[in-house]
Amino acid sequence: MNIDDDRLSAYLDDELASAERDEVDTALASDPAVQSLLAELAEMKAVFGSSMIEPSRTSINRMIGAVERADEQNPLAPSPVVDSASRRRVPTFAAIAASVVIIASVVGGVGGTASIPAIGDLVARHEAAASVLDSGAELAMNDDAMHEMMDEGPSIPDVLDLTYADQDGSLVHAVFESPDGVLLSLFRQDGDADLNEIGTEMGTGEIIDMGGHEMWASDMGETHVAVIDGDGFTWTIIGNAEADHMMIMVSDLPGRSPSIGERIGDVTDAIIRPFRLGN
Amino acid sequence: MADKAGRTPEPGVPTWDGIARDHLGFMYSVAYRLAGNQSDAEDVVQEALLRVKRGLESYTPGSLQGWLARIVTNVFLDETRRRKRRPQTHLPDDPDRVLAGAPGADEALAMETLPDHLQRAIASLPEEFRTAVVLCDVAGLSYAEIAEQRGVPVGTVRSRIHRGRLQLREVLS
Repeated sequence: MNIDDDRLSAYLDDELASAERDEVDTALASDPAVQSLLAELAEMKAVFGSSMIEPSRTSINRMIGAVERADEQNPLAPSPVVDSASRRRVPTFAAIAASVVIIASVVGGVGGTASIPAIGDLVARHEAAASVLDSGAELAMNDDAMHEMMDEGPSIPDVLDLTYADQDGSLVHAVFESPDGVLLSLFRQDGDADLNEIGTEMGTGEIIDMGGHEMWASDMGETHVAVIDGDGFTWTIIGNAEADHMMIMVSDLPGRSPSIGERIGDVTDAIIRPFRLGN
Repeated sequence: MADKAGRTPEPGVPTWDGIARDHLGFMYSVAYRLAGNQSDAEDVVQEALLRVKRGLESYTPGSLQGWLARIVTNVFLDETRRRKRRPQTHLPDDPDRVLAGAPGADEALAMETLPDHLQRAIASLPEEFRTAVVLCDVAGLSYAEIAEQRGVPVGTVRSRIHRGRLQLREVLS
């Protein structure tokens, strides 16, 4: 048994199956060097783990105060991804890619009366919209439909399915369907480009530092689109200045390119919640 | 029943107040080992606490400290990735952030609980080694829990912990 044999640390941590543990026991019984190494590893484990560091009262107050202030300012904001393993699976909804700027168009509204266009029709609309986007122009957002959606507030459907996704170069097309309507979205995926670069490219955005998280924001009339770089996830916020609520999508699908028709709701999350405007 | 790390599953869903009262020290201790200094550790804990406050509903009764350690680690790694991607910019818009660099007397005392040479040694470990060792030795997670959390095989966790301890031993010797 040599120094690089990681069974020794696993032995120390009680992480070995009985057969391997027996092997280590045998080595320990016959080799003083192994005994010595195990003792040193145990010392490192103790050094690393034994010294609890207690924050000062001042530090505690500062941390808790900052959290409470942040929560008071934005009490209904969804939690950033708590962790990937225990995160509650919001019913299938998808958004795409880190470092994404969304230019969204609401088709038919989400108010309850629109029929769901056929996929072929949606594809055609996507292609048309993509050509507009490729030309450097911005898509006009359907303010009426957005207004209607915003007015819905908490009753915004919490079940949305990604029914179509495609990628063409840097453009990602996605169609989200709910029982009440269709949300047609175009994403511009810029790989690792940060939001400064994207914002510059878009030309109309403003980069805002939100306590370390950069936000690209743009106004299109009364409608606001914002993308917040959340590191490992992206918040896309669509809202209207005259409405109380905003739609928030949280995605954590960095670098993944969905294929046509692929249902990707099982690998990404999004949260739609009412989000009271700060001003 | 306590697990092998001595952690006892907590009944029901914890409250925010209870976590802030009883587990903030644990979160800070994990964060301090990962971040390497008081200011960054505070930032990590602060963000982790906010995620906890807003994500309590996602908590599944079990190992509360394991869940908290996972959140703290994720915040730390998020921050690390963010700093690697772009230069750090500090906007002095938050008076608490401005004041963070000027610890009071009790904070100076608290910082002494981890000797500089030890913190430097820990900080010298590659991030993946440090994270694995902290989650094992400070947070008390099992190899399987660490593997699940970090998305790597158990064998990788085992190797990282061992190599991390060996490197710490070398630095401290």
